[in-house]
Amino acid sequence: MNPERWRRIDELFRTVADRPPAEREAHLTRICGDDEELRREVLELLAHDPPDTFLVDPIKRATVAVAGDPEDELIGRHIGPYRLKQAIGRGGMGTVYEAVRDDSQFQQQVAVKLIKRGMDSAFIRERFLRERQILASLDHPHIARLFDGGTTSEGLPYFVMELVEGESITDYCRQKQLSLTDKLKLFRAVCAGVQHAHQKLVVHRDLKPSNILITADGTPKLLDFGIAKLLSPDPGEAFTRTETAVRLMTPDYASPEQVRGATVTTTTDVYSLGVVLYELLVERRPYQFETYTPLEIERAICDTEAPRPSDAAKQITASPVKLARQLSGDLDNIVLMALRKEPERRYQSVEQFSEDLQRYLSGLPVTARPDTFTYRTGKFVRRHRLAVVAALVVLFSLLGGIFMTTRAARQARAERTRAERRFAQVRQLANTFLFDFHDKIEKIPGSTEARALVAKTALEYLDSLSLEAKGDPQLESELATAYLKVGDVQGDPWAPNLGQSHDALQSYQKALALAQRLHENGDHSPKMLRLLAQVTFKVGALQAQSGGKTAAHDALSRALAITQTLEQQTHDLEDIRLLQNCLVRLGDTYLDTGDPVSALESYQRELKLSERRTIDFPDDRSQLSLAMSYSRVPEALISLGKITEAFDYYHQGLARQDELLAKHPNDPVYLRSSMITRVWLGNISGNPRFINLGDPRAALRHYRESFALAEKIVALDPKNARAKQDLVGGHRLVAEILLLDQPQEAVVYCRAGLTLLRELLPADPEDPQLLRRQAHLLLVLANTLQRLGDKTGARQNLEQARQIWQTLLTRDATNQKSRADLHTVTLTLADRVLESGDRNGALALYREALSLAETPSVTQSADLYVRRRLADSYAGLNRYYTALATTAPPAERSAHWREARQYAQQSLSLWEGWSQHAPSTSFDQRQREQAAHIVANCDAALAKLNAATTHR
Amino acid sequence: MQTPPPNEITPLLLRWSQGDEVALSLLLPIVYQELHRLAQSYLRRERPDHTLQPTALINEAYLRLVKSDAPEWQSRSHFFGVAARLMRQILVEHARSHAADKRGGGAVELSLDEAWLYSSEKAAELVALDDALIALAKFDERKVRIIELRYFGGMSLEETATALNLSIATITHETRLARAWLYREMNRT
Repeated sequence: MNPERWRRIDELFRTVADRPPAEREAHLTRICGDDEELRREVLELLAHDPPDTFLVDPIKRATVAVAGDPEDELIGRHIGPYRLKQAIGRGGMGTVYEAVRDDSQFQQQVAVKLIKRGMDSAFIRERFLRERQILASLDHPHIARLFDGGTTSEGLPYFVMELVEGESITDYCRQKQLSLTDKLKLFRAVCAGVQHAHQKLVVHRDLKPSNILITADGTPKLLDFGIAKLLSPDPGEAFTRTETAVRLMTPDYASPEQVRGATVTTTTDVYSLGVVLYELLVERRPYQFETYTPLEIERAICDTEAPRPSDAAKQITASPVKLARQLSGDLDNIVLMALRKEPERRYQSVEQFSEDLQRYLSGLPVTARPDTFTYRTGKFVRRHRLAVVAALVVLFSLLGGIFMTTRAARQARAERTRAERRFAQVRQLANTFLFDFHDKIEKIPGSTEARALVAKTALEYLDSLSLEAKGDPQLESELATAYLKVGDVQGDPWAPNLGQSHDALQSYQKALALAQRLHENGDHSPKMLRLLAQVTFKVGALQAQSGGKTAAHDALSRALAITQTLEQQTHDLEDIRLLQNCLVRLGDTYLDTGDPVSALESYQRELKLSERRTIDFPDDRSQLSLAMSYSRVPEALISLGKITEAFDYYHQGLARQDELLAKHPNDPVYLRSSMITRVWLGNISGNPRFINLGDPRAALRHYRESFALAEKIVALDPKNARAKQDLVGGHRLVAEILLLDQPQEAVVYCRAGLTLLRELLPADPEDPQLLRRQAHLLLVLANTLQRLGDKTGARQNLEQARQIWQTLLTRDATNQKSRADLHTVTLTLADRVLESGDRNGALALYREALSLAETPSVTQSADLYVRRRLADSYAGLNRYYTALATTAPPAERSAHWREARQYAQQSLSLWEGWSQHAPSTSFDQRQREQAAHIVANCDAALAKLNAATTHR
Repeated sequence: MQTPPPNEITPLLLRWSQGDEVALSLLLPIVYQELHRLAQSYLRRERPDHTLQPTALINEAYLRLVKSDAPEWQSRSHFFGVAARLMRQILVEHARSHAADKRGGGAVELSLDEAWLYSSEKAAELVALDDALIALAKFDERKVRIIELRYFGGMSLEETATALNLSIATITHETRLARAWLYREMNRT
């Protein structure tokens, strides 16, 4: 390049470089004139604006290489009888030389590995001599022989070994593009070599692709057998062993026991081979390190589960789908079995590992299973303590029970065959079922799906066992307990559950049938009575929730009777608790079926029982239970119209709870109860969703206090998922009140609540409680956005919320809560759709809302909320026809107004009829007045139309 | 080879910076050895492939070889200016010997730490860069200087500007053009 011309280019480049590309060309054309070449040159250089990695990377690599470069002056030098000819491999730890043995008859070519670090090198020779017998016995076509070892005069350790020409197994597979089958075959050949060494009690300790060379004819050769051990300090030496051990090896292939500095065994090589196989299959190692700090390495290797190879394959390879499909299942299981953290849980030998691969290749079932239950459960529970606890309770009690039964049965020789069959089933339970359980846990870091599987599988076994159990009271009673627990997992109304209340009811009923038979056959032991009472209670509680109020009432009354008898015998705290539960649930049922008087009686009996409990079991838990009882009585009082009295009870309850809280300021149990009572107080004070006193400010105050408590519980235990759920609920309540006059603020709470939920949902995306909370927040957000004028946002959120409730109701068709919520959101959406002008769409939604509100005998129902839903649905249809009437051609108007009036009247009638069921309160009075007003409006419109017609 | 004692390093650097190529041949082994030693000590401390940077090495070499030694070399940027060129010499020399090294299939890779493997292919990258720099130097030596200081010496924009007594804007522009030219040159087939 002519310097003069270059200066010209430089100048132009500088002038135009910072201009927008479009301007550059025009500018250059102007300046360059006819010098087209100059213009092109500048433009071309401008087009190259490379990131500076093309400079940085080679320089950095070269720096590293220089630092680790062999001392070339060693060439020609003798180490022992070997003369170094040339360096053939190099790295930070040292250099490998091709060397020749001069003193022998024939010129033996060898490789000499010179370690450039003087670490405890004084002992190398001594150690080599100690180990040489063993190393010499390693005679296998796939193992490179180790001939000699020692230290140079400078004290550098060296090893002399067979010279191997080949490339690393990973490079070889990549270059030859070996098929999956060929890779596995090659890997099995590698295993054969390792296996041979293990038989001679030599552990490699540092297996990795660069130690596994494949020669040109495809033969694997394992390098460095025995070297790592020679280089490791002896146990008990004053060195920090872990550090040295980790320094010595590439952490990518190191096993957890090596990282921790624990004992190394043959299963250590199984692990490293597992990593190598992983890498061969998906071209990626199971753990990716970023900083290579000891902490990061230890965390990854010791605490993190490797992703399944099939999942890893999805992310990186060229044909991910096909490969993932090939790997998924057996190969995933095989690789992950080799990679297990605990040595004793891996393949116990390389032979087993290799054989399993052979089984896979032959299409036979492999022995590797997804990880075993106890181990994974332990891990999982640590991470998701609350979520999974129910599942574990089932499993352990189930297994414990049945194992015991099995042993008992086996002792009876006459029943040997049956026992054996049962044993086989139990074994199957302990294997397939538990393994499947684990499998699901691993796939999804939540528990719902896992627990659903537990429940399903457990039921299958229980059903098959119960066919045989007839006449075996021991087994039948175990079965009843097991069914009870499965039911709890499926749908215990007071615990994390799967939201399958229908299935839960079936399980409870199976348990009930068994318990009843045992009871009728004469087992009246407290244990049996308790089981019977528990199961009866659960059946009743679930029926109450899913709408079978009469049946619920019967069951709960029976449970109450049994528990009373039982409690009189035992005076056991557990039985008192059950009695309390029976009374509370029975009270709820009375309330739901329009008998607030009986409800109040039940609640007050429960209150008395709580008082007695504080005497018999005088501790703060009993005091807390009493305080909660105070907060429960108001439920019935509200329905009786005694809202002020209700208010007093709440305050009494709250005072007691706060007193207890002062004693246990950081105990989540006490915090939570104070929190809940404040929610109830807020509800009654002025949340429009509830029967309330019309004081939203007071409601907001209570909600905010409750919110602060929820926050505190979360702060005390950030891992407590239920506390976070409570806090999500707190966001919703505060937002519900703020929405009335500070919608901007309400939006903030809604979004914060949703953000919090997003932290929880990934752990358990199917959890019905979480989904319900999400839908609630979306509904409040929608109403807030509507108020702020964001109609699109409002509608989107409503539609999302509606979808969630539809899903929930599909999953659990008899759940009245979901039905009620779906009703609310459908009705709200109908209004929005009507506003948008889509009348047909709105009508469909109003009709759907009506059908959701129409439960059997709703007009007889004394449940104010049931009545309100129906009345609201009629009011919705009134709005539809009113909208129609106001825009229709004059001739059709009066027909629409008549329709509108008819629905308004139906709504009004419902409110007017309320006083026959329960004493009137300001709440229903307000509703009645509103309904009457709407009817009057319709009448006025009709009158006007009539007058106009007459006039004409 | 006779290694000059450390107190001779400063004059050698001075001589070389004034164009005495003999001084360079005397300097190279000293600095080379020093870099080895430093790298080894890095290696014992941390994972080298993530922490070992030319800048770090030069910085340490500076502290060890120069700082205590001579008052006229107090300016760090002066030392870096010289050391950057030295660094380039060392790295390129090393890379050229490796790029020529036909390892073929017969190489035994050194295990225990293969992150350090330096293949002929990798070495060739640096050789190509050096060839491009040599070509550029034929008509614009200043840009080569800038690239040396910034990439082989690891100096910042400001340091480079100070060392060459140029404005930051000029350094920015020249770096950009030099990079574009080098990139195009290196990717020319």
